[in-house]
Formats: sequence, structure tokens, C-alpha cells
Amino acid sequence: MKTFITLTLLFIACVAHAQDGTPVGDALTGNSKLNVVVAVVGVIVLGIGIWMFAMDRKLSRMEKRMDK
Amino acid sequence: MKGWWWKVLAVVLLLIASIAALRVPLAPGILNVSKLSLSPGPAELVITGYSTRFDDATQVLIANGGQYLCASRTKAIDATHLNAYFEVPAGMRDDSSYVIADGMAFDTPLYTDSLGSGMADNGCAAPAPRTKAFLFPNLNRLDESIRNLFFHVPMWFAMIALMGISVYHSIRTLASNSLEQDRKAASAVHVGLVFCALGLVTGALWARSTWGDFWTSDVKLNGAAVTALIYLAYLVLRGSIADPYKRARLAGIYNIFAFVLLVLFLFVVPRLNAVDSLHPGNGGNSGFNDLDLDNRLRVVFYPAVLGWILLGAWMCELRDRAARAAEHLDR
Amino acid sequence: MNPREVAHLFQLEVALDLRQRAAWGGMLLYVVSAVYVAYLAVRGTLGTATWNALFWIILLFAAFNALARSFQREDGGRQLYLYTLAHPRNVVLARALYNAATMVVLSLLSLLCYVLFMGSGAMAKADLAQFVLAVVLGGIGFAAVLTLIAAIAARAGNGIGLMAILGFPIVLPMLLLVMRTSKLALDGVAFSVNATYFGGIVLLDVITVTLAWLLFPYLWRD
Repeated sequence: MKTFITLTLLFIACVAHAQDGTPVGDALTGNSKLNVVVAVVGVIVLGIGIWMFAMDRKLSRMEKRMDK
Repeated sequence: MKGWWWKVLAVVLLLIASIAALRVPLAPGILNVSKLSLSPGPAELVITGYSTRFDDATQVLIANGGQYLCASRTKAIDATHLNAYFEVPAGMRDDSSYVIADGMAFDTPLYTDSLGSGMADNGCAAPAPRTKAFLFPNLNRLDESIRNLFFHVPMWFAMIALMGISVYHSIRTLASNSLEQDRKAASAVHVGLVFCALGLVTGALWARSTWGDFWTSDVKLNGAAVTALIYLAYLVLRGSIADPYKRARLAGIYNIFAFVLLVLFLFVVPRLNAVDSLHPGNGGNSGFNDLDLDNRLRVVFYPAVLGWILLGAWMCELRDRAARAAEHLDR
Repeated sequence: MNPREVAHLFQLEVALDLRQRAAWGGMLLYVVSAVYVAYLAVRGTLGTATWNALFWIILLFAAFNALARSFQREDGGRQLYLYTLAHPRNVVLARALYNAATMVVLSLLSLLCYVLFMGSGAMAKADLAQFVLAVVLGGIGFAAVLTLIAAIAARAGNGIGLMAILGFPIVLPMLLLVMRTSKLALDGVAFSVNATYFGGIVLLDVITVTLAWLLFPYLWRD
């Protein structure tokens, strides 16, 4: 969990840092429809991340039952 | 490494395709020209480009009825803005003139006054064609979002592939009456639905920016909705039967039946109906084949599709192994 | 496949069903009430497209209601007896044929009832023969698709609720095709224009019945 929070914060920092006229900054502030690409890639990564979490929880539950 | 190679291949393909999808620049294009019409006399145009490299030496012309009129002077404001000055003669052949800057044409014609039999001095020479680099096509209204082709579309390919895997296991379930095959079929459907959800959400986002709405009444969208309904019904069917052998058989039968009808619905009925679709390649919309830069898209698109299908198969395998372990614990 | 056995089983279906007059009465009452509700809700004239759509929606629900019971009356003993005597593939073929016949009757009656209440203004320009053909083929198509679904739902021990969930997404290709065909017939186009769609419906029917024929034996294996 700690790693996850660290990574998220790192990502937010990168995004915040990127918003000063660089191409990525433009992408996030909405020029030339790059923002849609960012949103789409974000949704896919997020979706697969959620799937990984669901899987993780399933395995944890099984491990708990194994220990019993 | 045995049995691993395709997982490595999945990661490598996705890595290469995603990097290419995000890094390959868009072909330069003209976004806007400051005038809507031309009439005889001096004219000053401001040309706005996208990812262009305009300078004072950039060649600007006006194409009209097979003849070309060169700019008398051009002055670059910056890399994407350009001033061009013309002496427009009377008696142009055609009522629409096309502005060409640095070999790129602006797709909206300028309405032209005082028609005649053509320019007296026959204008200047035709512009040199642009040398083609490896660039993605720059399409009106899509702009940079053409890159979504490598993320949104492979979701559907992966989904259909997973449903195909599921049907394969369903057929084997019926042939052998084995619960293991049935579990594999169910795992493939579960993961397929994940890809279906991703396809729907990413599609809605892209549709909002391109067509102005999250959901349009389009054959492809209806197909996606029906697919989601069919496989949710499949899961409901599984949930409503307690006996595992009966569940395996009934779910297998439904899966095969539904998949065949789904394939008919997705690929045959639209063709029969010849219905219009907003998606490329349907009802008068240009598809892959019509873009002059199609091969550049294909080179990235197919690896992306294969990569996502392999990733889906991998996810399916993980889910199945977890389900198998759970079965073992229950015993 | 044995045509004589199929014919025999078909006769059996008819004989059994004639004993259950109440079921037929229930089906007809369902259609009449559905049409009457639509009439009360609309209270006015409809455009051709809406008239057509409303008819098919009513017929679709009637089909679900009528076909849901097609495998329900099989209790354990009778079913076992039937399947020791006949091959399951012949059983499903006879049942599909019988369901198709039921749907033809039901769809024509629905059409009559619908025209009676909702008026025939939308049929002013129609090519009547083509429209009736579309209705008959549509009824047969619903029967073809829903026979196997009804069998699955009945085997799952869950009635019409499960059948609706399983059936709706699957019947959609047929529904869209048939709605388009009948709309064209209502607009009075030439048969040559509509022939592709009629062909499509027949093809879909054949494919579904073939699938049902292939898959049905697995359904009854215990």
C-alpha cells in the first residue's frame, strides 16, 4: 500500500511539474485533442490496475484460508 | 523460459507499440486560413499550421483549375504561423481555390470571384510533393486523438479473442464433460468483460471529443452493448445453477449459441443492412485502406492488437489459476 | 435425423397442446391486453416507423410468453420416457417446428388485433403480401432462436425471468433485421429490394435451428 501511495504521489508530482508549456503539459491542459489520448490511456491503466487489485484481494483471502 | 515466451512477447509488443503510438509525430497540416474568399487584387493570408516548420522561404501557392498562383512574398511569424501576400489576377478558371503551403493543401476551398478562362501568364509551376517520413496522418477533427486507434480499438480485438477462447473451451467442455474446461471458459469471459468495459469507457471518451456525445446510436456501439448483455447473461446463468456439471453444460451451450449469433450480429447484419456508421470503414466513411498513410498506422496497430490479445490471454490464465487454487481449497 | 420420427413427435406436440386450451387462451389474452395497453397509452395515430416498432415489441414479448412454457411442462418422469424413446435431436426439431407453427398463428392473430385497435393508417402504402411474409418469417425466427433458450432456462430450473435475460440480447439480430424488412414492406418497396433481407432472415433461421439441433443432445445428458 505504501508503495502505491508513493507512486501515485510521484505521478501527481510529474503531472503537476509538466504543466509549463512542454508537450506533455499541453496534453494535459487540452490542446489538439491530446487530452483524449491521455484520458484513454489513463482509463486503460486504471482499469487493469483495478483488475490487479481485485486479483490481489482474491489471492490474499485464499492465503488466509490456507494458513488456517 | 518454457511456456513463458508469449508473455514476454506480450510485454515487448505492448511496449514497442505504446511507445510508437505516443511518440511518432503527426504529419504537419494546415489548421486554418484567415480568408474565406478571394477576389482580384492584392490579398494577404494568415496561414495557421499544426506541427509545421514555416520560415520565410516556405513556398505558398493557390491552386485553381489546374493552374497555380505563387505568393509574391511570404513572411513567417513563427513555426506554425505564416503571412502570405498574393496579387490575385482576374479571370480564374474555378470558383474554388485551394491554399497549399509547404506542399500541404488546406481542405476547405476559398470561394473565388470574377471567373474567366484562366490566368493569362499560366501561373507558376506545380509544387513539389512532400517527401514522406514516418508520420501518422493528420485528420481533421481527430488531430492527435488518432493515437487512440492503438489503445481503444485493440480492447475490442482482445475482447473478441477472449470470447473466442471461451467458446473453444466451451466446445471442449461439451465434448469431455470436464469441469476444468468450463472453469477456463468462465475465466475467459470474466477477463473479456473487463476488456469490454475498457472498450466502452475509452470509446465514450473518444466519441465525446470527436462526435460530441458519449453515446451515439451506431451499429458498432449497439454491437458492443449487445455483447456486454450476452456475457452478463452468461454469468447470471452460471450463478443460477448449483450443480457444477449441469452448470458446465448449460453455460457451454449458451456460450456457443450466443457467440455464433453475436458474430452474425457484429459482422454480417451490418453488412446486410448497409447501415451508416460513424466508425471508419462503414457507410461512406473512409477506413484504413483509404488513408494514404495507412501502412504507417498498420505497422503500429497490428503489434498493439497482438500485444493486447496476449495480455488478455495472460490475465485469463492468472484468473484461471486462482480459480483452480480456490477450488482446491474448497475441497 | 429421422423425418418420420420428427413428424410423429410433432403430432404428439399438437395433441398435447390441444388438451391445454387454457394455455392458448392465456397467450391470446396476453396479446390482446398488450395491444390494448398500447392503444390506451398512444391514443392517436402513429407514424409508420413507430407503428412498426410497437408491433414488433408487442410480438416479441408475446413470443417470450408463449415459448417460455414450451419446455416447462416436461416434468422429470415424462421427459425421461420421451428421451428413451426418441433421439433428442428429433425432439428439438419437432419442438422447433411446433413452436414455429405456434408463432405463425400467434403473430397473425397479433397483427389482426393490432390493426383492429391501432388502425391501419400506417399500411396505406404497404405491399401487404410482403408485410405478412415478414411477419410470418419474423414469428418463425423468434421461435427458432427462443426454442433453445427456453430449453436452457427450463433446465436451469428458472422460469421466464432467466429466459428474458438470456433471450433478449440473442434475439436482437433477428429483431433488427425483421423490423427493417417489415418497415421496407410498409413503405411499399419492390420485392427485389427487400429480397436480401428476406434471405438474411431465412439464413438466420437456418443457422439457429442447426445450432439448436447440434447442441440440444448435450442439454439432456445427465
